[in-house]
Amino acid sequence: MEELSCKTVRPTLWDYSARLLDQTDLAAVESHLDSCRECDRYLTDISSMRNGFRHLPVQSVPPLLQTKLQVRASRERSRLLLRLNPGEWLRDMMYRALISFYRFLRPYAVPATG
Amino acid sequence: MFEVPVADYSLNLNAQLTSEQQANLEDQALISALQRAEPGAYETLIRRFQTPVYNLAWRLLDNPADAGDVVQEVFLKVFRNVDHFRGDSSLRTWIYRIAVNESHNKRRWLFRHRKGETGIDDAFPSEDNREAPLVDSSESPFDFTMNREAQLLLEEGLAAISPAFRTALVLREIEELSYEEIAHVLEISLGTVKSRIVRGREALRYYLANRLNPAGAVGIPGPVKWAPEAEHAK
Repeated sequence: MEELSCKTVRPTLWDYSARLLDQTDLAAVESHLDSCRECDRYLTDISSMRNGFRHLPVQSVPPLLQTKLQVRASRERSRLLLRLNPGEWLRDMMYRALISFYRFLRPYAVPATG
Repeated sequence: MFEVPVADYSLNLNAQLTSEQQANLEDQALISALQRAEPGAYETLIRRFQTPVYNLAWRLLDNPADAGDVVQEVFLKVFRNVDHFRGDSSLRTWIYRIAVNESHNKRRWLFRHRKGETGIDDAFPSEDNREAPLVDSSESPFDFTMNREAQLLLEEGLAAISPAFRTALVLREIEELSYEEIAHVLEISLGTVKSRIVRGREALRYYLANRLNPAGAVGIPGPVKWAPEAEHAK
């Protein structure tokens, strides 16, 4: 078996610690690790880092953000529904025009009623 | 309390389908439901992706408030552009691509606008901390403290390395995307993805070794700087 250099072995150690190497590479890397103390220490560092990544806590989404997302979703769904259905869109525009008209009349209507 | 209806888009058509094929079918069902504005489809999308997108943005920006802004922008873009989604990549890859781009935009914005700012948030306990429930951890207090220290150190290391390396590392090691998926998300070649991951791991290892043993990081190669020109020259 061909003896590997440290420079060749080190980039493969992450996959080695994740058990992703095939049998041939595995044997070559293990043979190198048996004889090289530096790479063995390097492997310990790599394994600690991998382990650390796997145990990083998952951040939970804040409740306020969840609510904001629900509101946005609801708003976007309404917009899409209006776009998909021209009749709905026309009715929506009519209601908007009516509301604007009532708002316009309010300053005159209230004094008129006494 | 009012419960938002959540539609179930999981399919049980054929037990022989691989998990990847099944995921693709579920994605397609969800996308067409979104395009038809079906009730429950938006909530399903949010429930499925809010935590991964929030965590991705949180790790890329290292600030919960900014991550929250990015998550809102990401979902808004997804809702508005789902019509144009052609299915060239998986739904997850597409959403992650938007999240990475939005996070980069946010970071650029913060770099320009928050240069001279000094935060006062650290002086007060955050709302999250006040609301954090007490958890009965099965670890001993010593193990808990040691693990927490290690996590903080790793988070600190991730925040310290170049953003290009950090993004690739987070997608690979935390989000567990394949190299091909990362290439799609970042819109770079497979070789560049592998190179960034290897160099990112090395930069992180160097950082951690220096933090743990500042006096004698002997024989450890120096930190790798990200040089976009060098990558394009390959």
